[in-house]
Amino acid sequence: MSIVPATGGELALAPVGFSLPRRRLRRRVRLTPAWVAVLGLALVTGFLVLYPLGMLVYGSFWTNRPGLPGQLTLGNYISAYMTGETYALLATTILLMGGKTIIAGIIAVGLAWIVTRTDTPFRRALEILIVTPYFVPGILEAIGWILLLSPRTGAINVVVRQVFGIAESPLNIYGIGGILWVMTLSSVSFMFFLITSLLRGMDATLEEAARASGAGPLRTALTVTIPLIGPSVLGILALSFIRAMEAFEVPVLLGTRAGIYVFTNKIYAAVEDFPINYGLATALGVSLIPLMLGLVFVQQRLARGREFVVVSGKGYAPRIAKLGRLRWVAFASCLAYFAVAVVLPMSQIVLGSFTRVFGIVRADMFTLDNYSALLTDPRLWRAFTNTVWICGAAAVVTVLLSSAIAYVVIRTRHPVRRALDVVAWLPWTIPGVVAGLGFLWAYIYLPLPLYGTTLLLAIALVTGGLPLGVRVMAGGLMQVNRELEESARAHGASWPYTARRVMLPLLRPVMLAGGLTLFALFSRQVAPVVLLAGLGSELLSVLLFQYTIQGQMQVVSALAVILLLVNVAALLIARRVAVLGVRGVA
Amino acid sequence: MLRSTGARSLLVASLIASLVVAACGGVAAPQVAPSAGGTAANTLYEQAKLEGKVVLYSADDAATLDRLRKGFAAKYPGIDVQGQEGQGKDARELIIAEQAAKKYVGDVVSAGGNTMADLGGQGLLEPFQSPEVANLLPGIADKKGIVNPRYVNVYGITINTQLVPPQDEPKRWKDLADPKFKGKIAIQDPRGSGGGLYVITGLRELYDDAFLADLAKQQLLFGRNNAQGMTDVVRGERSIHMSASANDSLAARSGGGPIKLLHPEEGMVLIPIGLALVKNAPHPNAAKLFINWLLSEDGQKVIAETNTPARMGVAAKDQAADLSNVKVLVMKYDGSDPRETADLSKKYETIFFPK
Repeated sequence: MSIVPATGGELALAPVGFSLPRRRLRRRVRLTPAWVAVLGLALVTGFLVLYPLGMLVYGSFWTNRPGLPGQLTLGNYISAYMTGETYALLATTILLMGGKTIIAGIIAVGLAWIVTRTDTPFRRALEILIVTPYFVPGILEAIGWILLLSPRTGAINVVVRQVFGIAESPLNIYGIGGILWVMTLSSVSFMFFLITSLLRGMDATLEEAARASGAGPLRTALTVTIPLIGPSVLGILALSFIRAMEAFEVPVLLGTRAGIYVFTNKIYAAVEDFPINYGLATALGVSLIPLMLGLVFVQQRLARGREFVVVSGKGYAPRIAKLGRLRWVAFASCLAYFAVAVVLPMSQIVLGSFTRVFGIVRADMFTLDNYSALLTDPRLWRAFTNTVWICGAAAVVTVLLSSAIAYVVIRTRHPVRRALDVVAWLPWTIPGVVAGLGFLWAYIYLPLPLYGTTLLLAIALVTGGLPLGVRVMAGGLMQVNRELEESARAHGASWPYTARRVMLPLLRPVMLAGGLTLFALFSRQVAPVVLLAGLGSELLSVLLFQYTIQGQMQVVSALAVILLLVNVAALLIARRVAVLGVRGVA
Repeated sequence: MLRSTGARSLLVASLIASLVVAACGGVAAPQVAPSAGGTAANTLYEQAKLEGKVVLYSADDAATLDRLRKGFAAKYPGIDVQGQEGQGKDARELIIAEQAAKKYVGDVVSAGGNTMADLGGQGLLEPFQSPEVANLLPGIADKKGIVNPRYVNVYGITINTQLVPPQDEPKRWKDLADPKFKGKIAIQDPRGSGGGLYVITGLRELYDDAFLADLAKQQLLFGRNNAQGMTDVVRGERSIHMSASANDSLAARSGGGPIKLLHPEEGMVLIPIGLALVKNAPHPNAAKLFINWLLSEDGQKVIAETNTPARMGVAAKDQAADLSNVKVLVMKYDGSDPRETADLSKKYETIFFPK
């Protein structure tokens, strides 16, 4: 990759750490307040992540739960790894989740390009539609598809059998194919959301240069746009892969029944079956860490030397590729994704929310009782308020903390930065089923009045949000030209002033996108928080989970419909704010 | 099968009849004051009022918790019932962690036999038997004197009437091994706690492992969550559920589902769900008062709204109404020995999930 002069003659593109004198300068400024502040940041982050994780590691080597009488043991690891089953499990997990990530990544990049770089009609509206599936909890996506594709009574199977006059159903949602299908649909949306904000933040002058030199839209995309955002996209892929490794709802619902096991539903089985074996569950969970770290290492190696800043601080308006008639094909493919990821499964959920008995759709079964049951549940409003406040506050804190971490990792030479980078990945290496236990064990022993409080819930959410937060903010920061910041400093602006007047406005769209993604993540998180939601601090997600285990799927559906509407409303508001914010800067 | 002549629940009468045999070894109504009236209760109430609240860890839904809170407050003003919902296993993990860290929050835990046995085995429950235990259905009292049963879950065979015509209805549990039901039966995974474990264990006690091997040939559909299996039967994905609780089954039917609950001739499987006082409970008197109240006639009438009461003489209402006139399968297994449960789980793994 060559360095391309931007308009105005300055170097808009410079590899990070490009200038040697600057590096030497940083060496000398040791033990300044800033240096100490970074150390403090590292200590806080380290504590948040490593303390609960350490409890789990300790638990995996202990014959009892941490803090209770017991002895050191390797038994959990021996029973986990002396059986060939675990290796088969590992292979299935990696192939399935890797396959899902690659397929979904390709689709997400394609859709993001259509929406941000082409003249496809209604692309602003399409963007909202494609982001929507991210706000549908995985469990409902899976249940929706069960209702469509269960072997005997799945709606699609019934229709196909009748139309083609066949006795056997052609499709079965239970099994590897079903897991792959449902998880791919969900993660396209997640990656699309992050990739569009990357593309939006990218300086279009590079693409302009390519177009001016005679490259067509496709060639520009393949040779300029994609390589430029490549490292950040790799980070997003890694994030999605790791997220998939620890997701448990879909494998539990679609895999277990067909005898298909990945790490998470195996761990789930270990804490469900007698003898209940939290030791084995934590050992399985902990042993994913090296695997995940290996992946992070590979991602960092691939990205090294290819980190380019692409936001120059000037107004940017990407040149829109004219697709001609193909633009309707692009339009149709966006709609098609929305149809299979949201319309089809959610239609079943919405229908279910109006029926007396979940799963039977008949004219005489329709009722509004589920909504009235929900709206008269005294916990609903409390859970709603709690969700908005706790998840909202946690999202804000996570964005700020993540920005600081990302800044240290990308912009400084502080000795802790590499460690900080790795530590920020760790929370997602532990499946949620056991992560909740880590938080419980860690914080109940602290001589602080945290247990059972809303604050602890927020701490757990912030910790769990770091991998996503840091990835998003790092992606944003990498694109902001270092020189914008440095020119402010050179003109005598203090660091806080620079942060407030230069960095924050430039990063605002990314911060908003990140905050919203985190809020959506937090507002539907169940496993890690169910143990920590103390008296009176229920969240909507926990309520949803409780209705699920009580088998009240009709009410779950009604709640899910409400949750989805709330999240989409939040998305629309945030976008409005983000658009205004960008205009304010430009 | 016996029929009661009185207005009381017929279930009770038949329970007594079928449990007399089992009662010899098991029924241990503790020797305590016959009734929770008089000065003793007043003193307990005075002390409980000073504590002001009781924290309950249970799997009750919000509506039930709300009814319990209101019912208790009506009888004993000034003491608030605070509910922490969760599955049995969540309640168990919270109590274990609270005890280990000496940060006591929960006063009373409500759970099935397996969770109670686990907690009790670790010495985390305070032996406390309400005086009201003397008035419970025979045979469901806790031999170890820790658990106070508050209701019973009853399990029979649930069918989808559109898929199982009357002439094909299984009359007995044993009929489920008939090849005509192959691939049609759903059941909760017997390796975990709940209906699946108890039903399979009851059948194993009644017949033998060979019968279980026959069942295993039926390509049973195993689910973690009983409610999920119920949805499968309601939709017609499967025809029969062999571990659905009567409550779930009757709820699906009363909503208009093509569902029928059958009472197998061998008897229905019954699991008592109880309350226990947590060790070092921060509000011990309020906790005892609450347990006493919930087992009293007043408390059991609240229970009767949604469940089958554990107390003699209180009839289950509404959904559970047609549980009258049932026979109960008397079982040796009661979940009180975690090691026995672990062995059973391992056995069921080899029978139903061969490698």
